[in-house]
Amino acid sequence: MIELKNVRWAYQEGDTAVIDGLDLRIRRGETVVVCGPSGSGKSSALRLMNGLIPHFHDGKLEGEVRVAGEPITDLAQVGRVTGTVLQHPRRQFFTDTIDTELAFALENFGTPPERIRERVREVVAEFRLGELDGRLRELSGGQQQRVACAAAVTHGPPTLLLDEPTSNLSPQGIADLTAVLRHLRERGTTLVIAEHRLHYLRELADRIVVMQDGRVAKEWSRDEFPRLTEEMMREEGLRSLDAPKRIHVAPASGHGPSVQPAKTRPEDTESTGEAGGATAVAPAAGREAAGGGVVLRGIRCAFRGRPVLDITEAHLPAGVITAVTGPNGAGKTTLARVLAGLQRHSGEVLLDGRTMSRSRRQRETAIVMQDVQRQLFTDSVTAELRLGAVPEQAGHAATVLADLDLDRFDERHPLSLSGGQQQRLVVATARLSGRRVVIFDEPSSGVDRRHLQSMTRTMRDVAEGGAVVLLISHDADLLALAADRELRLRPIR
Amino acid sequence: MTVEVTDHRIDLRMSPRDLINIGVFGALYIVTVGLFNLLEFISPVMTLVTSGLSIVAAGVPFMLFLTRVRHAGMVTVLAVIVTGFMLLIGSPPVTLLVGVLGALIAEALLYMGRYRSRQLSVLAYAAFSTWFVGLFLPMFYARDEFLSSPYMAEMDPDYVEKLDSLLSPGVLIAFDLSTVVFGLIGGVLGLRLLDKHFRKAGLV
Amino acid sequence: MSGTSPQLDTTALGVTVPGPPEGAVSRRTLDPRTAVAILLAASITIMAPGGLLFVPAALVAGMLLAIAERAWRRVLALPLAAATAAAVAYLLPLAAPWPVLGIVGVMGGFSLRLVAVAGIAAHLIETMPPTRFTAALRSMRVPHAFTVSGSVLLRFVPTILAEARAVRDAMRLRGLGGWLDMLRHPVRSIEYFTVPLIASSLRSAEDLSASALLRGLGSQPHPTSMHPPRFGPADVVAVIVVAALVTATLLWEAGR
Repeated sequence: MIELKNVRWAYQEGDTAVIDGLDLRIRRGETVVVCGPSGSGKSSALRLMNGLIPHFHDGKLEGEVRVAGEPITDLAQVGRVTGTVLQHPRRQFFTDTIDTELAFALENFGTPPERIRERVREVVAEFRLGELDGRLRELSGGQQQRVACAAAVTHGPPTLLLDEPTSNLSPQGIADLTAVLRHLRERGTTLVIAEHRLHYLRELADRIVVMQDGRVAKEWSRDEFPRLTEEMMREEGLRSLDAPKRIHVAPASGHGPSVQPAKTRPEDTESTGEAGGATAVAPAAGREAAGGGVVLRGIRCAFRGRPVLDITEAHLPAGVITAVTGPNGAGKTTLARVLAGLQRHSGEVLLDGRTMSRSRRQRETAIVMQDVQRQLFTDSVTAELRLGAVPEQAGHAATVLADLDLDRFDERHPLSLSGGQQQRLVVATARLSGRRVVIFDEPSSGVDRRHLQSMTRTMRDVAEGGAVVLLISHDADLLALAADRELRLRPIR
Repeated sequence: MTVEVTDHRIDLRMSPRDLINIGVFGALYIVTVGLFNLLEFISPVMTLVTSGLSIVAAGVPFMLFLTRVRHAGMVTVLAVIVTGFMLLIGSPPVTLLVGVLGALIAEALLYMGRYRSRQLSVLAYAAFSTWFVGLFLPMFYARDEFLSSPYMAEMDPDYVEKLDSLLSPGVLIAFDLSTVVFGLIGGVLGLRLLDKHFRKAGLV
Repeated sequence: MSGTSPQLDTTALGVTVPGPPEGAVSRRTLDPRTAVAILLAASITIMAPGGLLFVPAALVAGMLLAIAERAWRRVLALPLAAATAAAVAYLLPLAAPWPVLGIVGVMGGFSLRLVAVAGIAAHLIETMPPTRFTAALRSMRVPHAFTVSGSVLLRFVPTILAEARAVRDAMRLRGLGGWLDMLRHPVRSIEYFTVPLIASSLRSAEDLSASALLRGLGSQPHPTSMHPPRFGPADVVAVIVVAALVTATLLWEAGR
């Protein structure tokens, strides 16, 4: 089906080859997982298969790539025989309803209208999309990826390529996607999945290919999976083969229509204490009491008359990491914006017992956004740190950079750093400007095991500095590592 | 000989990727222009200032766009979809004409510079920016009607005369020139930020 | 959150599901071609010299479209905005006869024309999903270069607006956001705003472009549409109403 022979590839902007001596054959109907730590070339391998390399990304390609027996001449040609699903479901949608999205490829390939309608009906039935309603952007992440998979196979390609499809999904979303993949596999679609989360693929994969330095380092076939151990995974820098355990996290104190009460959570009955979560540090009660933190009182927020957030009272203590969880539409982002003083609301927000105005909160809060490029303004790491730093803190710039492993990069352009480095740079600016509240918004999308741990360390350090740390995340692996408290939100209704 | 000819031929074929790029930058351009124009709400008297500011600001995405243009036609397509969008949200249709005219001049300038010249690319942006004139053209021919309207007949003739001179063709020409000047500033700023940020960050 | 069934068993294959997926477009909405034609007719006549004459007709058309779409707020807002603009244009000079304010008066007159056109444009924007609009352009044989790039533009404007909002949030948190700053250091503010906006937008555009190219966008000179636009009864009604409004305007002008 797909054949890569001694392929070498270097992106134009990078000087070293990302793919170097890659040989990989994928047979018809096979389900292959391509994994490896960040930078190992797993996404690039996938891009070779759908032609994005070299027809979309510029660089230097050597070696042979054949898909369905043919070399790739242009993207539309390879697009007819492969479907592709990317990390961010919303970004790849071209339209805003399910049926138009399914029809998109068929329309572009010039299929007659009646044939398109027939095919769209079939796919809606096959993937049970009839039960989803509303606009694409209002669906949950898992539902969106289900639509993305359906839209990628509506024109009937025999192969589906998925590039880290679970990066932005909750455990429920992953379960949803797993069901779709199982269905596709059973109907004979060839699946190639570049992933760092492996647990959901354990039952599906025929083969796991581990990449390292741009080539295949190890291959495990289906009958070898049971012998794989946690140590082997760690050695390769891979995330766990077992689904992350829902470890018990103490609920943050809070109540109100938006807050899911702790008792109704089914997990509570299953788990007792910290099952194997050695890194999940128990909150230090003493420090919490002394340090104060944020108290929310009577917070209400509405968009166009529709209430989205309603918290009667909640306490977010300083010095610990409080996870904010809950489904899409439960108001997690709105809560972050309220805390940061970016959102109009009724009710009050107290920090260390004092009411804080919105503009005051803007000066006391930092948000590490999901897309950090949005918050990097200057042309070098040093300049970025100087921007808005408190004068008395400015002297610590070097120490903070060293702490965050950024000390060798001071003259680099922030946009040229890796995603993880950019995140840490934003954390550094928050520290230097003495922010008391630091919010991490989905920091772990597309991150391997090592980065997950370093990210946890970063958050932990910020908390230990006495800040109120909020972690908005779906990522069960990260929550298991980092969360001390959990404030679970639910949609109001 | 043939090599010479192919070298100088104007290639109008655009790949799907070029077209998508044009759409993306068209959206960036429109949002930049639109958001800086929002400042207008502070005071309507600011209209001219804010359109100047938005021309300058939109120079940044435009100059980045030019780094991805390697052949003729792309700037014209950009002008058509940008002014076409403006038409859809209620701008005067003459904007489309002015926009295409400006874009053709910009194309000629770029072609003269073989799509590489920095100076000519700044001029090209200034030419492209003249479509703003189209937005306000009707305001100037609205003036005649306004001044000759029955309401004005009741006003002091001295007042009408003063108003007439304030809205004379001279002012119109000055406004046209101001878009070119703002375009030049925007082009220079765009180039500067291109070097300072996007080139350094590897986005060019 | 609707409780979704993660179990997607193969029995779903071949099972007929009730109804087409939000298929044929409602008969009440105009064909995009009709809507665009009305908009262009209004904006060409009104923005031309002497176009003030057609403002009342366009306002009525705009209000009728708003009623058809049940946008009650717009039904009220449209005449209100027009009245305000007219007042600025005609009453302000009477109340305060200073030439400088006269300019404001002229702008008011211009705004009146803008409001009249905007009423119709608002209907087009509210009722026309980009995909339908693009399909209409294709059926009007607009060259492929414009439909492909135009559809990407329409798709991407909302995304960039969301990015812009996020960048603005980030600026406010870093103390870079104020309006005053913007006026005092315009060039620096432009830099702080456009650089992150462009960087993050291009990143998100990358996924969209890749996915669209792989799904054949722009690969065929003659793409098809799932629901090719068709003229319906609503279009006939609209054309009759517009013709009546134009006739009424011309008769009124002739009778003066």
